[in-house]
Amino acid sequence: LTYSRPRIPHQRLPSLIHHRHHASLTNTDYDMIIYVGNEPSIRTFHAHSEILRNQSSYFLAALSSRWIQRENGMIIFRKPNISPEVFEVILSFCYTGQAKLQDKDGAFVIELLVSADEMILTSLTSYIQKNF
Amino acid sequence: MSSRKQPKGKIRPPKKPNSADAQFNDNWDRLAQAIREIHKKNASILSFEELYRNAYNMVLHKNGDKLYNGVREVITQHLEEVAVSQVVPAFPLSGASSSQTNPNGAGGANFLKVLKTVWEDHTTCMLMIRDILMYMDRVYAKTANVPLVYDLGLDLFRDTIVRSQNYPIQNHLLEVLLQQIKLERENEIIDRTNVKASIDMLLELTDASTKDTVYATDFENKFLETSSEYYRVEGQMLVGEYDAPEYMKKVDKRLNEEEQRVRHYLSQTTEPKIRNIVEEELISKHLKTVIEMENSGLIPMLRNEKMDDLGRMYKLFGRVVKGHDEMKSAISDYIRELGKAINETVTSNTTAEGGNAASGDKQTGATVAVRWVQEVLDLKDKFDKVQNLALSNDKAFQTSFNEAFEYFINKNSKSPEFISLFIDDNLKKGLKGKTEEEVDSVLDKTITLFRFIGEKDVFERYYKQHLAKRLLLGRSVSDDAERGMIGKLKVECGYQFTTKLEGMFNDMRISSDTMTDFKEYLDKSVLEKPKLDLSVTVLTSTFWPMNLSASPRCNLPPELTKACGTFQNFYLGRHSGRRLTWQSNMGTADIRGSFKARKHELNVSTYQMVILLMFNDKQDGESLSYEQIKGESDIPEADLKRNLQSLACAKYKILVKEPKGKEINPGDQFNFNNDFTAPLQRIKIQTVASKVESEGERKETREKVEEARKHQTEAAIVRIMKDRKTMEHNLLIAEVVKQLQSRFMPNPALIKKRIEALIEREYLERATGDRRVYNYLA
Repeated sequence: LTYSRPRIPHQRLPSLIHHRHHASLTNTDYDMIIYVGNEPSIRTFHAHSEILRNQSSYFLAALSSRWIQRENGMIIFRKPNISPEVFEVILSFCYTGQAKLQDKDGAFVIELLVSADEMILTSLTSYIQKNF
Repeated sequence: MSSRKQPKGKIRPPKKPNSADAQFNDNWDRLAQAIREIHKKNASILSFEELYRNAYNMVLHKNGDKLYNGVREVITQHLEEVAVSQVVPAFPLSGASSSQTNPNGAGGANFLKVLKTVWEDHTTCMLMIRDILMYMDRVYAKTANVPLVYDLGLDLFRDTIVRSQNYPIQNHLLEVLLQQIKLERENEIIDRTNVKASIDMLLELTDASTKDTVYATDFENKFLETSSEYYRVEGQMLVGEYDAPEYMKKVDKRLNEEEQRVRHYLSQTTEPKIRNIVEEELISKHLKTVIEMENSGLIPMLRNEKMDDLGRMYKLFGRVVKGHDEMKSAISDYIRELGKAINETVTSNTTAEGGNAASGDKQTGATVAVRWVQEVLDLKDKFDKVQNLALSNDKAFQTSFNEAFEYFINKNSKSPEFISLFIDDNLKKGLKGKTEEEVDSVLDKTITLFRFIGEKDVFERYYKQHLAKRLLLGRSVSDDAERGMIGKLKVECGYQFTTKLEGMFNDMRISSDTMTDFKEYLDKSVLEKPKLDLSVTVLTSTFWPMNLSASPRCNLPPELTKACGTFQNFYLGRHSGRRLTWQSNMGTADIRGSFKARKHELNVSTYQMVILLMFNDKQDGESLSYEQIKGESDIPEADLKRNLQSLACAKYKILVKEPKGKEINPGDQFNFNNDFTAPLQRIKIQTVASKVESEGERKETREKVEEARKHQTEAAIVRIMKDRKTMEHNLLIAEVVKQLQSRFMPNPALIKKRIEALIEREYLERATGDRRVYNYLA
């Protein structure tokens, strides 16, 4: 049951973000591919499973040895009931602890809140309540 | 089995009944099917995200209770199946015959193994079910106030498997566990992992009503009961079969085993309980039997100095309430018994030699004293060793041993005298080849005996007497040793106890200064110088133990009398207002004797000198009778006899006695022994300096002690009353006892008498209202 979760040092976080936004095609140290949305608008995200496990008990269970699914050594996770735009904010929040909400409308934020609730991202929920 | 068969009316929501209903049924079907797959260990085909989303949607659409109940039903069904298909077939062959058909408990072990698998499967499945129902736990279980789904699983396992109403699983489980433990106690090898798995399972399950673990409610008491019975029987068996050391080893082993057992596969909470049972059944119940075992119990262990066994007994018995008390009292009784035996050898010796002792075999008396002290010291050493090596220097034991020593030492009324004589013997005998360190360590030990003496004032009196003789006769091994001993006494009893002893040393020092001055005075003076060298030691009467009022008479030869006069003039001239009294019984003299063969220098006592000088005027062969000597010298009879004995009956026979014999009797005739020869030129005629007192002397000492006690008691009363002014009788008695008990134990009757004497002399008065209260009269 016990699963060790090594903390990523804070200094590394900006460089990880940097990789993901500007050099994701050449970035090779991710271990996870996430397919978000329904056909035909599925988007692919690359991520580090360790960071997600640290963010919520939802991912901790989903990415535990009991449920984890791999293809060609890569962890595969599919999340069809969320829009890629919302998931992008969620993923960004998982890495940075922040979300850019200024240019988002109310409907978007509600969708974000619902998704945060479903995936038990409690820190995101309270972040939105505080910042929006 | 699927929820489709449920009556639809029950679950129909008010709006959009058909679509919501269908949605629910669809979601639930998938979930129920997934749980079944999980139970079948087919989880790899399932998607976490999908199942989670299903449950999430159900909860979101207010179907949490249906989901929850559905899950309960599916799990229950599964567990019922497990019970029938896996657990029940693994039952060991039934009932009492099981232990016969399975002497090694193999059936039982297999049953535990099956249970272990069932339990592990259940917990694994429950983890996965918990994963997918996480949202239900978070949102529904909290608001509906029902157990989280994992805990629900535990409860279902408890009620469906462990405490199944349909199958006797519980009985079998408990029976097998107890049987496995019994087998292990009987040195069979069991598979501890299986037992541990079942125990851990019981520990994880909770009893609904007590909120305690199922381990505590179902298993622990039964385990303790059977253990109690097991060790009750074993205790009786072992006590009959083994001697004490073996018995204790077995008990030690059992205690260890039970501790290991708890550590390996039971709950830590059971540890003190099972320990108590073993301690109760194997130690408490057989304490006395083991202590009193003939040839191997406590006393034989002590006798044979079996330190390991004693140490084991100390550790073991210390575990139970009465254990150390029983040991303590048994050892103390033994010490008392040994002490009594030592005391008896002394009394039987003195009575057996009573005739001789009276006849003057004094050396034996001192030997008895020295032997008594030595034997007590040996006994003390022995028990110090026991205390040190076996009893971890336990203070309580030390106290009880000390009490035992105190008891028998004070049973011997001569112990203060004996101890003082023993010290005397050691301080006199650098001769015996002991180094100063050795003497010092012996004296240190002696001090421990001194502590046990109740009548320290009696000891002080004897010590003063013996010290006086050592100092005056120059017998001390060294000043340092003497001062060292006084230092030790001071530490024990305070300076009051030793001021007089130190005063005696001062007198010795001042006297030697005085003698230097006296010689100068003689050199300068015009007076006729005495024909002999006079050496005087001036003693302060209050410091020294001599009785001055009854100063011994003795007719000194005129020359000596004259020399004494000269000194007296010199001394009184320097210190006016003092009075000198000559203690001729304490002096020594160096005289020259001409015998046929050669001349010898004789070192004798003053009395012996007086006796020998009488023969100067006699012709060869002319004899003096006892009566003549007595009349002419005026020496007290006891001293005269002793000194004549030293001259005529001891190693150097300066005088010849008619008739021959060891005793001096009236009518004896004495002749100067002209034929005396000795290899040394200088001869010391030993006077018996230290000896055990005769009955008469003892009585006298006793009276002196009683007298001194009266004064001390009165002084204490006055001191206290002066301070308090008014005091109630009992309080006063208590206070007096407190002040005096370091020296002796005052009898309340004695204190009362002293109070009355003080009232008579108007130091105190009875208060007018209350006759039990005293006032101090300034």
